[in-house]
Amino acid sequence: MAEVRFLGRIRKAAGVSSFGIDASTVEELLEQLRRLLRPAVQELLFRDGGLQEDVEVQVNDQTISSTGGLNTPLGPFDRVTLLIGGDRRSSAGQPA
Amino acid sequence: MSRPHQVIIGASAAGLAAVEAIRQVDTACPITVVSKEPMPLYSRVGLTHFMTRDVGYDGMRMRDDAYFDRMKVRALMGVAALAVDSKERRVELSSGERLAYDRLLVASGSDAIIPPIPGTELRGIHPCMTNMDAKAIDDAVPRATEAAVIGAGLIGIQVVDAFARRGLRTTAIEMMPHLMPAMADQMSATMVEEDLRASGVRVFSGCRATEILGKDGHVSGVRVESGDVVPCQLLVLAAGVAPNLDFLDGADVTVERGLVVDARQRTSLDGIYAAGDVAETADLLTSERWVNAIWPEALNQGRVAGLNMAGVPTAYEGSLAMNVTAVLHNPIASIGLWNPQNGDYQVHAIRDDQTRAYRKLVFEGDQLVGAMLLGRYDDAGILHNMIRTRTMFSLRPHDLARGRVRWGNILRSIDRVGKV
Repeated sequence: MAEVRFLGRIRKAAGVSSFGIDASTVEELLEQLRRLLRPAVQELLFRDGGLQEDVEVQVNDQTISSTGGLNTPLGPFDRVTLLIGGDRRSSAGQPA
Repeated sequence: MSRPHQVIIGASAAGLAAVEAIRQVDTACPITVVSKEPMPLYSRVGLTHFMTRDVGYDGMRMRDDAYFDRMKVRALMGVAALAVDSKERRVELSSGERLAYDRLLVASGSDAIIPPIPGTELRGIHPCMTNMDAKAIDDAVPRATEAAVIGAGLIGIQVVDAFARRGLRTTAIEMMPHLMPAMADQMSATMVEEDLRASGVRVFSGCRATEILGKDGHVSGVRVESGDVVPCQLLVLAAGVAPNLDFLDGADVTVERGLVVDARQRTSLDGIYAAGDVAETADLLTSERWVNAIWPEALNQGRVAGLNMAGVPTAYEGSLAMNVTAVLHNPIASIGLWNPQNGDYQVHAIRDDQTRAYRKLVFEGDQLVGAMLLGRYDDAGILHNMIRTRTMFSLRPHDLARGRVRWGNILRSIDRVGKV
C-alpha cells in the first residue's frame, strides 16, 4: 500500500493530509482517488479524462515526468504527493 | 445484549493502549482500529534513532504483524477518517465506508504544522512525524551535503543531531530566543547551542525563516530574517504540531487547545472519547488544562480511555510535562515545573563546564516539583517519581541539590527516619 499525501489547496479541500491506497501504478492510484474523493477535491484534481494541467504528482519526491509518468510503479514504501503547481510560492532565487 | 462496537481512530501509543485496556476487560467485543498510516505499529520515539542509524527500519516497530489478529481487532490501515456523525454514530472513511460505532476513541495524533512561508511545497522538504517521513528523510540524506531544520524543539533538535552525526553541514533555525524552548531553559539551551556550534552546526536562534528558495522545483536554501541565506538540499520542517482533528469540523464537540475531555477521557459528545496528542487534559501539578503531546501521557490516557470504554470507571490523574532526548550524545531531560514563572518556588541550579553538565531543581516548599538536567541524568527516574507522586522519601531539598540521588541513599534515609 502506497501513501498518498496532499499539500496546499488539495489538503484543505480534502480535509485530510494523507492516507493509504492499494495501487500498483500512479494511474491506478489516480483512478481510485477519482472514486473516493469528494466532488470539490475531484474538481481540483481532474478535468475530462485526465489531471488538471496545474496538478503536479510526485513519487518519493520526484516528479512523475522523470519516473515513468502515469505508469510509474508503486510499492509499499512509496509516497505519492499531489499538489497544485500554483501553490508553490517559491522564489526562483539561488542561495548566495 | 450485544457487545458494544469499539472504534478507535489512530494506531499509535494512545490507540494501542486503548485496545489493550479494552481487551483486558472484554475479550469478545468487536474492535475496529482506523489508521490513515499504511504501516503503523511503530514507535514515534524511534524515528530519530532510525535517522541516526542507531536502529534499522524494523527497530522502530513496537508490535508485530500478527498483533491485530491476536487482539481480535479489525484493522483498517491506510484509511483516514473524513467526518464523524455523532447523531447517527458513524464515521465516514476515505475508503468510502460509513463505519458504525457504539463508542469511539479519537486518538488520531497530531500533524506537523507547515509554517506560513513561501516555498514549503518545493521538493526536498519533509516533516518528521511518521515512519514514512523518517524513511523519506533517510533516503534523501545521501543526496545532500547541506541540510537545514526549521524549528529546533524536541523533534527538530533530534533531526539536527541526526544530520550532524551523519556528516551533513547542518543549520538549525529557531524563531524563539533559544533552542528547545518548550523543554529547556536559557542556560541549558545555551550549553547545547555552544556544543552544536563547536561540532560545526550553524545555529540561528531568535531568528525566523522568511522564505524557502528553490531551483528547478527543488529546495536550494532558506532565507532568514537577518538576511542570511542558508544553503541546503534537504530541509526538515519541525515548527510544531497541531492536533489532527480536521475530520471533526462538522461535529458539535468542544475543542479548545485540543478536544476537551473529563477525567475519564470523555469528550463533550456522548460515546466519544479522546486520548493522546488530540486531548486537552489537566496538568497534574497546576491543574491548568493543556495538550501534553508526549508518548508516556498518550499511553496513560489511552489506557484510561480504553478502560472507561469497556465499562470500568477509571480516572486519569493528570499529565506531567516530561521530555528526554540527547544532543551529540549528551542527554537532556526536563520534568514537571522546570521553568517556574513566578517567585513562589525555590530554584537550585549548578552548571559544570568541565563535564558539560547542568542540574536545576525546583521546589515548592520542601517538595520537588521540577527538574532540568543536562549531562549526567541517571537519577532522572527517581526525580520523576518524586515529582509525580509528590513524595520526597524523607529527603530534604538540600540532599537533592547537592548532586545525584541513588535509591540506596533513599533507602538509608528512610531507614534513618523510620518512615516513608
